[in-house]
Amino acid sequence: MINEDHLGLNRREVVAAGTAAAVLPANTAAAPPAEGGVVLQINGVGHDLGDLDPRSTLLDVLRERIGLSGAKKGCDHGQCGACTVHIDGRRVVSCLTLARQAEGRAVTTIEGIASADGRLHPMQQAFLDHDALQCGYCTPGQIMSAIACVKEGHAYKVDDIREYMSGNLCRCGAYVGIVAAIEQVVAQGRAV
Amino acid sequence: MNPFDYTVAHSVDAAVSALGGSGRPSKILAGGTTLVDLMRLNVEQPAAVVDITRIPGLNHIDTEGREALVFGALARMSDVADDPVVRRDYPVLSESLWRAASQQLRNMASLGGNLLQRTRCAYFRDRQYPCNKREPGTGCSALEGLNRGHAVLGVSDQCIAVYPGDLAIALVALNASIDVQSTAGARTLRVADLHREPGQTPNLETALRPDELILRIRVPKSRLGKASTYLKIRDRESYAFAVASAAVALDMDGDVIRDVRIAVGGLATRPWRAHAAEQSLVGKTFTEAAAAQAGRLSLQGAATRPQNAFRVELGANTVAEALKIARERA
Amino acid sequence: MSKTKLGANAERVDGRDKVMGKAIYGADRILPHMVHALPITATVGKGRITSIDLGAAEAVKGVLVVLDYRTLGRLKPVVFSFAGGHAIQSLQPLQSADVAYRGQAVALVIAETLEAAYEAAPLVKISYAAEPFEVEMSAAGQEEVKQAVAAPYFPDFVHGDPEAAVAGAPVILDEVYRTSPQHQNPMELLSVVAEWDGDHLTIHEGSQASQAMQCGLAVQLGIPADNIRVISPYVGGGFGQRGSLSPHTILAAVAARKVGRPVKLTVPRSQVFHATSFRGANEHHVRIGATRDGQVTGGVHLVRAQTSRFDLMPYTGEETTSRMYAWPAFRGATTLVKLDTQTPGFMRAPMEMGSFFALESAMDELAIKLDLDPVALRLKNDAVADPITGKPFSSRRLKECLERGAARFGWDRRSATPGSMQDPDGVLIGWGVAAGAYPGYIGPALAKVRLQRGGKVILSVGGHEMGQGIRTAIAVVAASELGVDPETIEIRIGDTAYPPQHTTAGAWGAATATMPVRDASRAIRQQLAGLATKQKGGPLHGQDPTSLTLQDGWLSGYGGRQRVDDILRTARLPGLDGEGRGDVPGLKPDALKQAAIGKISTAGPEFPDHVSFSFVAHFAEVRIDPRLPRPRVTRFVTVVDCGRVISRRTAESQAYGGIVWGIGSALSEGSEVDPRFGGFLNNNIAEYQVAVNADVRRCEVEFIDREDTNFNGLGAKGLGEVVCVGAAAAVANAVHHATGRRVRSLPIRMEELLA
Repeated sequence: MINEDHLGLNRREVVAAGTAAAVLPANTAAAPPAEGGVVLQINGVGHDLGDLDPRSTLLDVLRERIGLSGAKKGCDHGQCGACTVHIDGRRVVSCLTLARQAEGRAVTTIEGIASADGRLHPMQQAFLDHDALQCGYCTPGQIMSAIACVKEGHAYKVDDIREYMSGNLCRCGAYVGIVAAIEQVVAQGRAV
Repeated sequence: MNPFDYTVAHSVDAAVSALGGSGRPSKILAGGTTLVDLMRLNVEQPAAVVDITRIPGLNHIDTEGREALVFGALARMSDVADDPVVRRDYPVLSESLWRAASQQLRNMASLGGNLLQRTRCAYFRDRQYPCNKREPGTGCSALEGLNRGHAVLGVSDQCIAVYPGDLAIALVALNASIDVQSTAGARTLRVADLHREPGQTPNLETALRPDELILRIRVPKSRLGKASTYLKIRDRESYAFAVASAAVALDMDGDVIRDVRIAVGGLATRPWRAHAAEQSLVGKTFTEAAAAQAGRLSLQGAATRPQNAFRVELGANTVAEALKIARERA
Repeated sequence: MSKTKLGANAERVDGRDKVMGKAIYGADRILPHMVHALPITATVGKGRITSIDLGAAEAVKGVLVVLDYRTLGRLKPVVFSFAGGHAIQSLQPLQSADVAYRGQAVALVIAETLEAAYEAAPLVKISYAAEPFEVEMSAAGQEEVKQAVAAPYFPDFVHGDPEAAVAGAPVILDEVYRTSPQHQNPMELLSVVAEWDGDHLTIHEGSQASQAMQCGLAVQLGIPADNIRVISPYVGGGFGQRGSLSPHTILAAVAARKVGRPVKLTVPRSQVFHATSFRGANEHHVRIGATRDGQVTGGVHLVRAQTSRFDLMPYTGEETTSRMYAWPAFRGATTLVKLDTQTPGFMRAPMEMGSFFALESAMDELAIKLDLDPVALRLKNDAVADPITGKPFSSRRLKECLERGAARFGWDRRSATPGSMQDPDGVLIGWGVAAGAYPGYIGPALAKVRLQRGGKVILSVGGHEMGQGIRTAIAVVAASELGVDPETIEIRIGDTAYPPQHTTAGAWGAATATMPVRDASRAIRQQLAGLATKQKGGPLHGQDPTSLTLQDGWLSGYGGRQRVDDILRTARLPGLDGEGRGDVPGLKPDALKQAAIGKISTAGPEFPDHVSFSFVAHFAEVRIDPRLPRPRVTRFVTVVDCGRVISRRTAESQAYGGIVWGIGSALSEGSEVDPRFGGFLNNNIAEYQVAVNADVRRCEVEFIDREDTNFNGLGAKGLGEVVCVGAAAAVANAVHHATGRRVRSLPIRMEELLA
């Protein structure tokens, strides 16, 4: 267990950091962008990013503007999968996605998949059960990718899992556990 | 990354006029998997970027027509790879797609954009090295450099960079064409005529005009589809570019080859159709020796460097093995 | 709640935070008014900066300043870690116009946004006067030094007259093996957030050595170490890359002071290949003599290892190869070759990856020469005492590793002739074996444990969590002593505000941290028992304090039990504190003080009464299509002697990871050098190919799991390094068995296996 107090920073400070985007009321999905500002729907919440630099990637916006640091930067060139998020339910690398391209689309990150009462998503639980991680840095990307892998129907055969999870590098070498975790979710027939 | 004007085009007309109208270097943005990557490396530095991903009706996958499979330029690689008709009747297409990149990238990358994927040559991708493709006249660092991964077919004394794509290899084998449009009008060209060999102008990579937009890809329907495969040989098992690849399709009459298509990838400066190899097989009985001979003919005219010489034999073997896989599907 | 015991299959205690994306790594921080820094690197192989034009870069909107050697300010000299200091190299960034290697940082852009920094970076115009340089070991006329002479602290390993012993042998194996440079490439980019508060500096960065970072920065900045706090609760993979202070950290610290705002610096992946250490290239000349029945008569292991022009990075792989078999005579000696790169350093199994690829390939070749089974050859030459010192091993269960591995793998079904095992479709099957060892090191640590009323346990100790599972191992040990659930323990590690943070590397982390934790936890249990047995009228009054058990908040004895809270309340105590230091023979008396000033101060592998090593045996199966000869590893069995297993689940994960490293090392990983340019050309993780999921098929790991209490009180030896020692050799030997091709350089690529 980690106590946030001794990390020298907590979440509230993140939001107080001044660079954070304005958080819009929860049900703004259908609302048009205010005054030409770029609005991104992230985990069901609208974030008004104002006059967003067109060069900003979705990954940098998530991490530096919105304070959602679950998606990780491992290469910034689509070579590692650590930044994997879902856009309209499909897995993509957020490092090569210009943030403006995600406007009007539903972005889901690792922070948005557990239920509101804190219950883990079945894939998160399966990763825990099979110790499908070590350092944890690639883990959010692995889990987002794994959820999509099952949904796409690419997880019924173990060789398919290995192939369709190969876009997520794990330098600690947790692949055995990752495959086992996905097999568990498929075997449980759990909704993902 | 340089600043650029970002425009969203909501129609093809808007897109092509945005491309042609500014008079400044403009780039089309679809999936972004090549463009954003190269912009971050400052290899691409467009002044304007035209996002075409919101143009309606360009992402269709139409397999019902009598004459051809028709794919919108914005169809995603992953969707076409998983299309049940494509998988069943044109495995070479499906395999060329799902054996490329990763599922995340295939979910982003469009078919049209994928055809225009640029080389992975390390000297091209890093501005600190001389490169004729990136900066004409500066020299080719690969000729005397680390060129294990460089081309042995279609090379020149100016450039030996490999065309890295997979889909285009399959499309060339299947005689596919593309419909393109610019402010000057529409035209159709064969995918085989899309990519240029480097020659003395390696900076010119395609036959497209700067303001031309790919609208759709047409793959003629044919009996050659079912007995087909895309075999991709890589250093690691997945998520890697080809060291050698072959797109092969067969039309068999019993044991006799009625028709055959062979194209190789990962070995050439552009998608490379192996006509001589095809001719060696048409009308012949399929044998392992004939497949091996076709493999060797596919690499005819290869010009090697010490580090990439092995790819002639590897390429020949890849073609031969792909022929055998296709034969089993006939 | 069931009682947690050592060896428990406990859930990873920080796993929940990690699967939720809540674990906070260095660059995950956002601080108020924070700005971004981006280094710019040299584009010549060596030379001197002749001019710098910052105009265009500084004109970019959002750019605050661009620093270079003229403006960064002079840093106090920092010392290379192997010369007794704190840094990955002695060369500091932005200190002069000299450029020592391509990729060296030469300027730093500081901007309000990442976008502005990336826009400005290519606009910095720097001209250089280029000078000749050398980046390949193979080139003629290299500047070479004998390590034992130039760095006497790292002597040769010599025993007997090995040259004569080999020369006189009836069978001689004499070959040279080579390994490419490699890069650690943990998934987390090198990244730091630096923040000043007056004259106090806080550094957020994933590190294996927060204390070394703190003390090294203090040296560079000329300020007291107490003014610096390094916070490193999570590390997104270490693998040796983060074992010392790297140049980017001081850049962020100075930049933050210059602009008066917190600075985040994330080193781009392309720069990571030059921004810190890497595994240098090696050349191993191995000579082994043997009798016709397979008894080795002597061994000579001569190494040429890459170092930089300005530091001597020692190479000590022969420290372990000299102990691997019962050598009647042995010589291990290293020559260091100075090249124009950054200083090489540690990467998982730093010396042993290369030295055991060489030795275990050589043993395979020797077995073939002798017409002996390679497992049998190794068993025949197993050592009972250390050939170099004559001391006993604290424990050595290599024989069991080989025997259990062979049985599990089905080794007796192997047909010895290369190429003789095939699938029906003609795909060749190869089975290879290799063994490995890694020195047993242990370091100093101080643990503090507090048990609060209400049952909360707070524990602080030296150590860094790189994913190896140290937090879980510590929790299991404390939980087993205190009878609590491991997940409820609050663990404070990787922070210089707590007890000395000894560098966590060399697989010594768990052995180092867990003993003091056990002692500190035990001290609390003893205090509780002491209190309860003296509390008149209490249910445990008068009982023997050593007979009581502590579980789930109850202290229990014969016929009675008492709540811990009641004991504390009666004693009018808010809680109890325990301290533990472990008790490690062989550690220098001042070792903990050394750790507190950021110095590595381990003992091992030679101890007063024994030598200590962990052991491993690997069995690999490869499949190779002879016409398209991509080797694919289809099965792997690894059996490890790491003493007692403390935390089973995290130990298994680490062992699987070792196999994956072996596969990558053997078949795809290599940093490529263009001698005309310098630096590393394939400086990205598409072209530097680590193993992907599809490269890893059926893997099985097994532990001997017998305690080594000669090594430490818990009986645990190191695991994280030894699991990948010899793994690449097992693959290479399997490739030979499949194809008859002996590839003596790594990585093994398909061109070596074509007809």
